[in-house]
Amino acid sequence: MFIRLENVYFTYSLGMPFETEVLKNINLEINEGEFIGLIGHTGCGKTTLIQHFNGLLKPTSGKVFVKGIDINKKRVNLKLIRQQIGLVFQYPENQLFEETIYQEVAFGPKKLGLPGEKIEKRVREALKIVDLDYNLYKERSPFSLSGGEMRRVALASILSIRPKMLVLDEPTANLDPQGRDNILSEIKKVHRDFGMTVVLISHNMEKIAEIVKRLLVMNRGEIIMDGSPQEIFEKHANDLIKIGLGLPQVTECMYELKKRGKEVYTGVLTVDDAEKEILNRVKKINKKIKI
Amino acid sequence: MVSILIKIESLSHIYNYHKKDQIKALDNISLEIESGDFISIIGPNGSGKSTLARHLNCLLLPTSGNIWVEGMNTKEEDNTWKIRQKVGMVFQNPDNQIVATTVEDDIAFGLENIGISEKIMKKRVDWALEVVEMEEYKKSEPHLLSGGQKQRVAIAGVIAMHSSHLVLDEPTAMLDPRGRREIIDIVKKLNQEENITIIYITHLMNEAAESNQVIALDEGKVVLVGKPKEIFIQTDILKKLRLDIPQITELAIRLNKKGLNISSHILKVEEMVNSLCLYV
Repeated sequence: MFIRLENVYFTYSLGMPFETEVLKNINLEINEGEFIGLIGHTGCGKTTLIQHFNGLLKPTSGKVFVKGIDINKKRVNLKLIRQQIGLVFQYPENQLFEETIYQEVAFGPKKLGLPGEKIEKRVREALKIVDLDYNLYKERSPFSLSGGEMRRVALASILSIRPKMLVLDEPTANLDPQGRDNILSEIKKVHRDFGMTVVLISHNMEKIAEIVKRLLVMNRGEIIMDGSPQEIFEKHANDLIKIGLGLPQVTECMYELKKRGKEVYTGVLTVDDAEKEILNRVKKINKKIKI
Repeated sequence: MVSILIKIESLSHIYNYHKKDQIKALDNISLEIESGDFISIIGPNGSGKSTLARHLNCLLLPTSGNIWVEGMNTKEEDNTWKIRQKVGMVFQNPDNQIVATTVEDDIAFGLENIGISEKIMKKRVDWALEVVEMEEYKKSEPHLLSGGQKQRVAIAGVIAMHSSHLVLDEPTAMLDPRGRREIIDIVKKLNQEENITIIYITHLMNEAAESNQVIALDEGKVVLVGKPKEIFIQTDILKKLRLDIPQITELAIRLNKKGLNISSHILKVEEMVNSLCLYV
């Protein structure tokens, strides 16, 4: 077990007129090597939740354990926790500040006190993961890049710390389809090749349904669903719509067919799944007609 | 007779024109946009969508070529403010567009600047709030609103000026699915009920599907113009432009190829469900 949250509550502006309870009774376990999607509409507490993973926020009540250690106890070295759990915030390109891409990506390893040659190795490795050519990019200013490239540099500067777990808050927001696909394939790569645990927040139902293995759905500060995307989209389509989340178009299509009394499987998430399911149905029905 | 609202003639725009590192953002574009139409402009990042949009209300001026808005050339300085009053703009980030501490003050900001009397101002603010369905938030503080609501306030601020044409530059890019739906619904309503011309920039194809006409840009050039149904079946070109084909259209094209009698022009889930009902 990597992370465990136990009865976590969090309230902003506690005791002030604007006091708001943002997290309510969160109980969550994340195992090493999992690939998790976190969805929920704006303001439901997603970002607040992930900030509890590495102690950026402390619960108002409840406990957070990382590898069995209660991270909010006194004398816990949060620096070590944060090396293991890398958070990539929304619009991480806004956090770039160095003069060159090399310096930007080297910042983390430098702070870890690594010797020069190791730093260089880490920078090369991180830039390779995000598909930016080391020699072409190392001397360039991060501010001369396109939005998509800047975001990849920001991701690289987290990867160079070699976290065990990567938590990304809407990493594809505002990118065009190509930029989005690049980032997502890089995230899939670190999960697959390095066994990194990944938690991904996204509003893109179609993409998230396709790539994650476990989906958490939040609403008003609570985790209201936890399961495989197939299971959640199959059984809870109605509830998802009610709380303002969309369905992937093909899932919505199956769901509507079912509403009209057609016996189709509604846990389809991709065009491939939908094509197969529809062709199977057509075959079955045609057989019946022949008889 | 339909009136031509915007006429673009051989428009090119080069950034850093007087410097070494010139970037040609728009390359010889000619277009006509009719009054009351709903147009979407699609294209990958860097294709020139936003540069084009910024020419429509004089935020940028052509390096060469001309643009006329209701017959007024954008290059003539005397026209600048007249054009800006007619063509309103809504940008991506709702937080960057809010200037006041209450919703009604924010909407009134533009009106105050052009010296509208308080009586008329109140009327216009109320009307604009009603159109974007935000009446109950009149006295709210903007920073407490959701992203979709903030964008609706931004839209209200523009229509309160009685702008007859609205340019929206990826207005839903930072919103969640609910916020996206809100904005699309309001934009359609403005077009249909208030007869406001809409020029909608997006790279989300299911949003472009709501418009009457799609213009696709790539590397500063217009590569496709047509109705959404005509554009979306050109999957090869769209893939080349690195744009998404809506899941449902892709499914329709595949099923059509497998010999099912399903039109490959399907853009909406409902159409697909209707056609599939005959089969399954």
